[in-house]
Amino acid sequence: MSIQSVAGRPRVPWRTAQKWKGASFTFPFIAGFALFTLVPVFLGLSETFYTTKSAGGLGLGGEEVVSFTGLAQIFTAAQDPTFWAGMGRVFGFGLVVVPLVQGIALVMALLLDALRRKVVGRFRLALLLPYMIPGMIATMIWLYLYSPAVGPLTAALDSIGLHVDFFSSGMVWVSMGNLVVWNTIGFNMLILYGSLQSVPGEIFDAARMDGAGDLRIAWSIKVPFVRASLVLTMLLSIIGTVQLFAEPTLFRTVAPETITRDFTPAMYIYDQAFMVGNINYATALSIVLALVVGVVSAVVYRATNKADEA
Amino acid sequence: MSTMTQSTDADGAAPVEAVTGPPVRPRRPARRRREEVEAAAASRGVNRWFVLAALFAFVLYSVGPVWWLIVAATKTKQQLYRTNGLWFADLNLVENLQALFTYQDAIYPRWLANTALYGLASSVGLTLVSLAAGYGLARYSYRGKGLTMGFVIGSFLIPGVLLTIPSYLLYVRLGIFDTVWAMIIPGFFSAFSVYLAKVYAQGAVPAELMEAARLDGAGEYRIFFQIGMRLLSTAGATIFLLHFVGTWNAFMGPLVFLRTAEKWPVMVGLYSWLQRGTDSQYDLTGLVITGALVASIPMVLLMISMQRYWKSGVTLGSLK
Amino acid sequence: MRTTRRYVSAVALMAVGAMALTACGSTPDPGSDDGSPDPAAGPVTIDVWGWNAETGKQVAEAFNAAQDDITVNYVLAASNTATQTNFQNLMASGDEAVPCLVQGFAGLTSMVANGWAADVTEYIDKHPDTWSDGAKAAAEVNGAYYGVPSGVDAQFALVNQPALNKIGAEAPATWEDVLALAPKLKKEGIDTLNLPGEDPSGFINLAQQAGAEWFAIDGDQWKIDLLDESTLQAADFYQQLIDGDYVSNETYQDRPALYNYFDSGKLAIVPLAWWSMAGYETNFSESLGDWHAIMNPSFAANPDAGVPGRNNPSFVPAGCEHPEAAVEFSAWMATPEGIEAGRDSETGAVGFPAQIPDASDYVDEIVPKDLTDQSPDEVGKIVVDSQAAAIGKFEMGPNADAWFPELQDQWGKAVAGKQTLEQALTNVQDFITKDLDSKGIAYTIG
Repeated sequence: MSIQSVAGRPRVPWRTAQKWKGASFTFPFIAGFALFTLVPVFLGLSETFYTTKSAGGLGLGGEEVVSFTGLAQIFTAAQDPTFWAGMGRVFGFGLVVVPLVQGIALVMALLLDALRRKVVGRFRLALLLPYMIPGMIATMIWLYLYSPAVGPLTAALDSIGLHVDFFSSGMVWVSMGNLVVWNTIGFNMLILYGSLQSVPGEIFDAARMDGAGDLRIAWSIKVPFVRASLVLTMLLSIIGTVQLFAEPTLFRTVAPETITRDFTPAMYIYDQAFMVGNINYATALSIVLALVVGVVSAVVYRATNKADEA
Repeated sequence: MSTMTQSTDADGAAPVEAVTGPPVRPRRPARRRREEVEAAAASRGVNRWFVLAALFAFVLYSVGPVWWLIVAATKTKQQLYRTNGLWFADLNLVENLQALFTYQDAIYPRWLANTALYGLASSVGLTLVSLAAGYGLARYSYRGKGLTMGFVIGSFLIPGVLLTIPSYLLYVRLGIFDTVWAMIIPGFFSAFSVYLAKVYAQGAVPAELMEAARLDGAGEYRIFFQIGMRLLSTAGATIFLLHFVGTWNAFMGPLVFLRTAEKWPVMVGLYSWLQRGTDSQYDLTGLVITGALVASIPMVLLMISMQRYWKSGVTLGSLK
Repeated sequence: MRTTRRYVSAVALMAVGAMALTACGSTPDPGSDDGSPDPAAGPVTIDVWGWNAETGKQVAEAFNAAQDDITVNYVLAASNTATQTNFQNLMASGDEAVPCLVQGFAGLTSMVANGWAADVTEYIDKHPDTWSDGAKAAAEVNGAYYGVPSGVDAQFALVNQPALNKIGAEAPATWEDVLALAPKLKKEGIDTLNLPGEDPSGFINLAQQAGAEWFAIDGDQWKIDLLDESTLQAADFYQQLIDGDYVSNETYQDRPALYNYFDSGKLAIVPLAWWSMAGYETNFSESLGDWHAIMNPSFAANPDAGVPGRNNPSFVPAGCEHPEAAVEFSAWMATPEGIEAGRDSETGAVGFPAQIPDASDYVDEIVPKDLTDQSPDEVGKIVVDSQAAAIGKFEMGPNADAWFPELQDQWGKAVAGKQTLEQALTNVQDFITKDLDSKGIAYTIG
């Protein structure tokens, strides 16, 4: 369907013009993203190529000797046992928490979708409330709820014969896991629910007329339809879990004999950057972390997107 | 009726049904169809109780803990730690609210206003930029698209802590450090929102619709603004709301990029009050709790007012 | 810590966007170069950074009104950590507009190690009687004043009188007395002390009181010894308490539970500093009137060692053009006029001047009325005497930020019974030496 040039003067074929116009939709984002994200990232990452030492002696006075060490920091980081121990912990944590969060969010989104329009709004608001509560307040709330001395959960479980101490070393993973789940299911639910709205309603009528029950419809029609969103939320969940920082930092104060300063990779990076003061090494660690997460994300993406037309 | 008429009727009706689903069954087994529909409705009735019960359980889990916050906001300082956290003691809510709005020269309302400004301005910009970018990524193919996607996903992977100093330097060089622009402009660009928009656009904006519009003579930009954005209303609402909530609750960024206390958003302000208690004789936890409760009200109101954007399946009516 | 050289070169590598590469230049201050304010040039303006939201600004304004040579601009930060982040960023950017006084957000030696603190000895020496010995000691590093004396939080103790009455004992005067009381208290179901697993600062205080010196300066190198006799004496004291299960482990994170527990009468001794009393009075109900304030117990062998007390003093950043103005302002804040300017309009109370030699005029404001079984005057005297006897200085070395989290972890394990305190100290010392090695700082052990 290309339009022939009328006057013989070469014109840009309209397909190319269309492609440029299509690309132009992304230009504002790319420009801003390059400036506000890529520039700091490249500047920040350059730290990994150097090693900083004090000028010697007492180390007072701030004199530094900065030497270019190329990829040495990254190699050291890639072999750091503390880092990999932390990595193992967050992976194990993620294997449980990510499916849990995604599963619950999906179920909530499906349940919401099964409701009549009129009541959906209220339920949706209620389910999103934990996400609206800021992190430091959520911490206060759950510290209270978990408290063995004054909180209601321990008392309630006691009354049915279970003796649980949410602050004990044994329960730390469960306590953190619950905190992560509570904080994130609303957010994930909203994204999945939004995706469910684009499912054409007529397909349901047709399926019902074929005799399909609600569960069958949910499983065979709705879930595949939201697969792209589910992959997105799952990737974000994985990335967030591997970068676990706030929850273990909080629980370090109540279970310090278990949760140490470098318990998760993110805590290790923070500690190296701001406590030990070794930004070069911290940057190297975060590059290794980003690579690991990138590989995992790519594997997950490939595995779930075999039939995706992109 | 003669077979000819029936088939004509069936044929006459076919084009509409062909687009929306399998053809309507012949009217002969009408009674059976109504029974089927009623049976389906009955089974849906049973399921509806199950759905409500399950949802109610989830709501309890989500909202229950917030109850503590509501109760705590009504307590006096003395009773905050001494009384049962899940039930009221002496009601002190009015005094708490008064203290909240007058403490430190009435800076709290200022913080709320700042946060509203940052949230609204950056979310509007973000929604526009992200919908456009997502739409472009989803509906057009061009070289460099894969690279864009790679960068987008890659940006999720860098822990923010390491970007503090480089970002700070950038903002200083750009002249936006310690200004309201530091909170608004960078907020326009979120790789996550773009990817979300892309995912939604792939589902909600069919290529056929765009072709039909092009045949009608519309230019690409017009298609986006008049058709694409309406179809992407759910995506837009989701992106807007999530970003607004994120901005409302953000405090790491503002902590680094805003120095003046009068420019802080509400969470930085509350965080500063919370930190007072740990190393000084002032314990402002009560103010923080009341402040957090009050601060969540605008978000709730926003969500309620945006209900209408979560529509479903608007696509199909537009096709002929 | 970071210099601007690296960033400029990295930016040159990145040909992205229109990044202006003009350095942030600032015109030199018209003040004279020898540092003293030139009256002909008008008042000198200095920025002061802090996180005192209640009275920071009003004190600065009062100072500005009280004299004409210096104008103080108080910049309020969100918190301790926020000040640190902000300051670190400022130093990294090489901006020449540096504040002249910054509230102490971290250990002073760290400030000196990063090259952030200026030597202000000549200005401090102009005010020999303004500050207490403890406050001044806390502001010294390597014999010079790199900090501006900002106070010291002297430790004293509250004992639960009914608890002592149950075992017919008197308030302990020495730590040995405390150890003797412990088993008897345990028989009554009462804990002697609370050792929070996440906070080793009580232990550091005891080591300070015992005379420990973890970091000493020996010419051009550090002498490190976390296992000297004094420290081991302090460690032994705690170890006996831990081994005998005479202690509780309530964490400060779970505040309602902590207050509840303190209030229950099941804890005999609570060490504290002047600023904790208000919180205890607000949050206790059952035990109000049961507490009895005493001076901090001492070790029998060394009764005149002084009282534990440490502080992170404010400092004058290197690059400030008017260090003498900053010190003048601090000195003014320690005068009666300055203290009065800090009267909180909401509570009506004046900020307790923890940095002056004799705080007896101001102690009434902070002594609670119902907490103890003594008269406010008696409690006030204990506070004032403690402040005057505070040791103030405990050298934490150039890498304190690096090893303190390690001490937290090791202490947590020791308190939980997973290792001995001596083992914990050995581990921390190993960490310190490795860290100093990687930083290229010279040291010897012992």
